[in-house]
Amino acid sequence: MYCLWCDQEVIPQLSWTNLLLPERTRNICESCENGFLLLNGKHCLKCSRLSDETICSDCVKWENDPTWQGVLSFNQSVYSYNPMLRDVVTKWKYRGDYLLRDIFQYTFKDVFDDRFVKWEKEAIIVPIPLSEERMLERGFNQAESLAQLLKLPYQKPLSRVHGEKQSKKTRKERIDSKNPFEIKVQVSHPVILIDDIYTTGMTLRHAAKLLKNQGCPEVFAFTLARG
Amino acid sequence: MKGNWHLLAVSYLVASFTTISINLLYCAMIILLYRHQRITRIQCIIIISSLLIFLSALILEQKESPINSPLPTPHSSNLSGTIVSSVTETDNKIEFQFKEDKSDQKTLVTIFKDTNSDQDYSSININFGAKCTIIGKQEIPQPSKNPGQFNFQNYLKQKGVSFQVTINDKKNVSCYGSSKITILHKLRSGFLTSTDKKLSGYTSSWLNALVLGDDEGISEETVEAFQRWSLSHLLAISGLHVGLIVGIFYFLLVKLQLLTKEKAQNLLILLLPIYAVIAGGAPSVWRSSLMTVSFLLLVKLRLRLSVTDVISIIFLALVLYDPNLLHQLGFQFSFMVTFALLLSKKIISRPYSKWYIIFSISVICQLSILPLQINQFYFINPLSIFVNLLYVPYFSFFVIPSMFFTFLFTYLAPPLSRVIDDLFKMIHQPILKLLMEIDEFLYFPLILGKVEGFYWFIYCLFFYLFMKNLEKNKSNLVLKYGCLLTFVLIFLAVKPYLDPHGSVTMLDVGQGDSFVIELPYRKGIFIIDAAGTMSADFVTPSNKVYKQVIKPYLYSRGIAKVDSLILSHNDHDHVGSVPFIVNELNVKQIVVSKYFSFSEETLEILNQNKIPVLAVDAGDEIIYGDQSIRILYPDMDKGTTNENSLVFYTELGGLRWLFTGDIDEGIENEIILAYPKIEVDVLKIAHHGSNTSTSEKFLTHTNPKFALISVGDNNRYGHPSLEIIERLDKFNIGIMRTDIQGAIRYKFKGKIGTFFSHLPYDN
Repeated sequence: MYCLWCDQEVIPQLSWTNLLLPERTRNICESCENGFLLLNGKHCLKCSRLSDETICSDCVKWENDPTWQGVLSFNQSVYSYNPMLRDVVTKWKYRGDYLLRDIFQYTFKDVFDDRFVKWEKEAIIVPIPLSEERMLERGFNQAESLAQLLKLPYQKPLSRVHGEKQSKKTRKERIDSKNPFEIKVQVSHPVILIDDIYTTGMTLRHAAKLLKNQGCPEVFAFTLARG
Repeated sequence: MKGNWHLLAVSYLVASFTTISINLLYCAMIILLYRHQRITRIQCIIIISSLLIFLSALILEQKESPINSPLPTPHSSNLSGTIVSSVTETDNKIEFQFKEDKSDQKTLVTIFKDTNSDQDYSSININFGAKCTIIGKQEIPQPSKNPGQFNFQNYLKQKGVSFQVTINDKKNVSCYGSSKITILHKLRSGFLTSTDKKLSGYTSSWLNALVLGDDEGISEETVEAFQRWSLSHLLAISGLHVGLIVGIFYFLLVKLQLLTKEKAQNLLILLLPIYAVIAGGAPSVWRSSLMTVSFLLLVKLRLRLSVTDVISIIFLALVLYDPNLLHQLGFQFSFMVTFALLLSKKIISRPYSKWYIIFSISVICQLSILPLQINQFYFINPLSIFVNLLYVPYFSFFVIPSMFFTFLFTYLAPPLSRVIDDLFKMIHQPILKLLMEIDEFLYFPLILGKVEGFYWFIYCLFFYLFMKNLEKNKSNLVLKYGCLLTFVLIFLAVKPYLDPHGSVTMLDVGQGDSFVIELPYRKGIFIIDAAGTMSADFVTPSNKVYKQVIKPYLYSRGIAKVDSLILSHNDHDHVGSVPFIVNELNVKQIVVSKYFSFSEETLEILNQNKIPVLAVDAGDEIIYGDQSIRILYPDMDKGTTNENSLVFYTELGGLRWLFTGDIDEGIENEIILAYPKIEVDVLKIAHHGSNTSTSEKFLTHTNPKFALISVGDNNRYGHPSLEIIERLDKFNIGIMRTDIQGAIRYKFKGKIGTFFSHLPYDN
């Protein structure tokens, strides 16, 4: 097996940890993988941002705003959005190297299973949709392709109106923007939203608000990276 | 298969157990790994099918093996075949393995040299690969006759040898031809003799051991001290030696610009296998040389393979080439330690201090071979970890490099080699002396005895979890499993104290007596008599019986302390091993009759070790807990040692026992008169079954059911007398004798017990 990122051959190293249980086939070598920053240290419990406080100032702001209070129960991210991850996501998402998703194959599922064990049975997994135009342009929905890694059924009750890319907007523009989602089907179960990156949390909150207004009891988010 | 070669190596290991349940368990584990996508379908198929192939091959081989099949009757007279091993020659003998053409069986041939006449043995052309005709009688090697004793038969069997032949006249051997490898064997013996000639005996003995893999020259005392302190790995050429020698060699070639790096590497690839043969070809030498060659080849071919894969492939290659290797201790130790260290790469490559690293290597080595160590030697020496910390760096940085340079200089610059020679002596002697001092004052072994496989399973589990958490840096779990690991060892040490079984063991010490009584719950250990032998000169006492029989038995039972050493009378075949026992074990007291007089040498040793002597008289009773031993005789000085034999009575495991030393009929009659009502179940037949004792009258009077006869195989006194055997048969008394059955052990719980013989009865 060759590393999906650096193309070097991956030589599995046997140690006490994987003596009895061999590792799953790695598609990224150890040194590339060490470039990612897994969020298992101190981070905000509500939005996964690297922080010494249990609830970061950003989340305090969100929760003090009566419009957004309690809309999103929490967001769990897998990695911090560091330069290494940004490079990988850029190549994957914008330059269409679809296979790079498999770098996150196991970790994405492992972290999900670990965090959402309480809700996994009951909740419905919903990837954040793309607008039709964006879908045509990109060829795949990154959120949906991540959701597929979870090997669980997912639903698509939302659709999206075409607009400017979130990544091209400033924070202020994002927060002031109007809700880009429309709801097609009502959902009465809790929902776990899946997306690639949580930056301000606006997109996820827009989707969550819509779902909640239509009778969904609780909304969580699970994202690959926390910006 | 990349990254998973160890699973294939393990499947060979599992197959070698040939137990179906273990094999099935392994299959299940492999399938489970496949189901969880940890190995691919192809890997799964390869592993399971090779398990089946290994298993069927090993079962087939077992069936064909000479020990399990009815033996092709050993031939006498003319044997023709080929020499299949290197030839070892010492001052008094020549030894080699010989494969007979007709039966295809290997035989160990020992030619004893006639030391009186100055005969030339090189003329008979004994070389590896030579075709030989040998006139001699094939014999089946001696099996072990006591629990814990070294089993020569098994040892040879593990090397694939089923017979041995001893030859005293060189006329009985004629050989011609040789194989090409002989050149290397000859080169080796040439090197060995030339270092002996060119250097001082002291230095050459170390050089021969550390560079050429021949430790004949190192004193037994040193070898044993190294063994006691788990330093033997320094004496056997292994990864450390090969690594250092290769390193120095490469460095010299490249830095002195004799060769380019490329060429130096090529040369090493070529030379290392040759070196492995020259260095004696022990498993550890082959392992480390082949590993080094593999790494050099991988670099050359631009292939990448993990180290664990390399060692697994070499393991498979070696055991497939010679399946007997797996049973050799050196092979097991070498692979076990190396594999454990390779697994611990993450732990020992942490950026901590050098001492931390050396310490953790030392600990990992000791812990990983602990089951092998205890199964073989029955003890561990916890402090050896610290001694390793001193001596491993000393050997790595000083002894091995200087020996290698001395070796080079004896050929390149002889005067320089003599300088190093003196320097080496000056440094090495005091440092070894230090080890002897440590050995004298700080040797506190933990004698655990023979341990059942179940406990090793538990031990290995905890060791694995310990290492796993150490790797993950989870300190609280490391602490927990470290404690559990220690607890297992402590439990093994106290286990005898929880065992309700007791035993009486008549050891097979040849012509002589030695009994060991173990009370239930380890409440007391008594030894009755400790036979000794003489050296070849018939004058100096030899420690052979102690070393080969008594000590291994006691160690295998986890015994380090003797509560009472009871001596019947002062004859060498009853007390010859006393000085050795007293010096090495913790003896609380010695019990003798009042009419027993020690030799001056023995008295001195007893005084040195401050051992109290209890002199008892007829009518006395020794009480030990709730065990009582009644002394029946002697009641006065009878003149001879045999007649003065201590006679005593005790009850153990529901039976009444009478120990009689070497008394004769006259004393028996006196006992009958003095104790008119005495009846026993087990009678130790006096004087090894001589017809001067065990009268019909005595048998009628004491009415025993069992007779114990401790007697040497084919002894020159003709013991036991046929007359006595017939007499015992006539009285319907069950006879148990050491010459035929090996050690006899009566194991009991409460008042019920069973006699076991070490050898099967029909042997």
